[in-house]
Amino acid sequence: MFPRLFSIEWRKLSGRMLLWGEMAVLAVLILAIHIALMAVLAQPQGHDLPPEALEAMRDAMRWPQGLLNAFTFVNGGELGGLFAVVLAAALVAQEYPWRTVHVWLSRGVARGSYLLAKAAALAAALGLLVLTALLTGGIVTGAYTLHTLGQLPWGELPWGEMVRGFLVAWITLLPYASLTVFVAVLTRSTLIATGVGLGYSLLVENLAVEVLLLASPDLARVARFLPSLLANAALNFVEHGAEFQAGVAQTTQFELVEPGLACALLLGYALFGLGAAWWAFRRQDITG
Amino acid sequence: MTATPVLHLEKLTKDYGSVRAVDGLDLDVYPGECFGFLGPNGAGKTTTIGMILGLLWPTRGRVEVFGQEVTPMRTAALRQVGALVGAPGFYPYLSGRANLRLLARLYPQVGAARIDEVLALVGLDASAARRKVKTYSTGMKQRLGLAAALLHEPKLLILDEPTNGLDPIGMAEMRRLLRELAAQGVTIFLSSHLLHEVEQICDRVAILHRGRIVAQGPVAELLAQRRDLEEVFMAVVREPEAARG
Repeated sequence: MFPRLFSIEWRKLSGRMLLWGEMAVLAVLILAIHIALMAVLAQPQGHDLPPEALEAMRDAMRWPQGLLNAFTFVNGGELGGLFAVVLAAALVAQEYPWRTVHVWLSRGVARGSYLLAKAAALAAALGLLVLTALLTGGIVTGAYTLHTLGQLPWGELPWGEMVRGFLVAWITLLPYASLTVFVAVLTRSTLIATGVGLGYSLLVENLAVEVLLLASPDLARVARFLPSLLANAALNFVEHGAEFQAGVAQTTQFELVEPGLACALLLGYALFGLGAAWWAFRRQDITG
Repeated sequence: MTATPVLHLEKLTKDYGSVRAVDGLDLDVYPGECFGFLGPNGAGKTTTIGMILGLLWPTRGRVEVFGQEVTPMRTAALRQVGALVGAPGFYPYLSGRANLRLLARLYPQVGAARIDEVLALVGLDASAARRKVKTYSTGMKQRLGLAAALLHEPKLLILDEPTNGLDPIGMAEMRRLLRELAAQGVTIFLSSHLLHEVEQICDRVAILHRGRIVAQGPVAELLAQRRDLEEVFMAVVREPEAARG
């Protein structure tokens, strides 16, 4: 039964413009960011960066590092989190006003299987978003590499790092999606679920870090366990992350948790959110 | 009747806060029957159907379908049930046929031929089936809802106001279809406030008022003392209210 339910959920999701639209927007944004950076690098003058910094930027734009940098755009604390929220809200909450949740449940589909199939389809869609970032980043940085070096260093490609980066970036999206799934089930409203998800991602997390920092440095350490900072920490699983770690630590004034622990905690948050959604869904009267 | 009921409700009760929507319903529907479930608006018909279909948690009581208990967490018996409840739910961005194809993925035995068959049964032609559901009229959605309910050849059909939104021709076609299905041995549980419609189609009826069954029995028996179901309905629903003042 579960494979059939998963195929139904996937068909519902892939039949909508939303998923393909999100992938297109993500690709365009990544493309735009890279083109802007390339434009800066192409100018012989007009910026105050020292030559070493410029060379570091060029390296970051070229294969192999350029390929791995794509993951930073799509992680949960960045654009990816926002896309995950919108996708999750649409996939879950819109079934209520459309009365399609009634249709499946009244046909003997178990509530647990229904929710799990939805979560699995959503997770697969998030994987597609990460893949989009990798492919777009790969193509544009590949073109830049070809332009500046005259060839592509296929032999230097860090395949293992790419797989790891893919998995880590995907894991960083899950807490945002599962929080939104929970709110969507609880409120049955796409608008509220999207609002809460985006509000949390854009406002609450940042505000929490600032407030905790103001309160005391010790309390601020708690902020390390917020999903956005865990996402940053998790990305240190990928080799280029050392710079990322340094940058984030500088702005947040504390050290991030270990990447392995960060991934485990992110998965824990995702499971907690899904568990909460299940708790709400199993008790729910499907009315309206 | 001595046969095992297809649908069995026992002391079924549903409270919304301090409001009792359904109050201790006892009811049996037997194989091959067409059972009319009547009541004025707000009588508790849709709430009862919601509990039968595992959408609502009963406050008390029990629902059995084909001898198996049904609750929102135990719905396996509903795989043999087809339902059309209120405004039918569809994915507006998919065509009518694509919606049915999506539902058909639940049932390995349902193929493209069956989809064509049910579309023809409810009078949706190929061009209508190709259109996205968001362009459908209420009547077309209702027809598609019935097609969806019939898709997997259910043994029990639960219909809540199935003629809503249909024009007179559509209503007549729906009645004819229901009669044909009943003749084929499909058990039908038909909730409606159109008394004439129920009188024409159903073998037995129950009249629900303020969450309670106030009359129940074969249509012929109820009509023995009255001219039509409307009179019966008025007698059991309106007259006691009038007497109470």
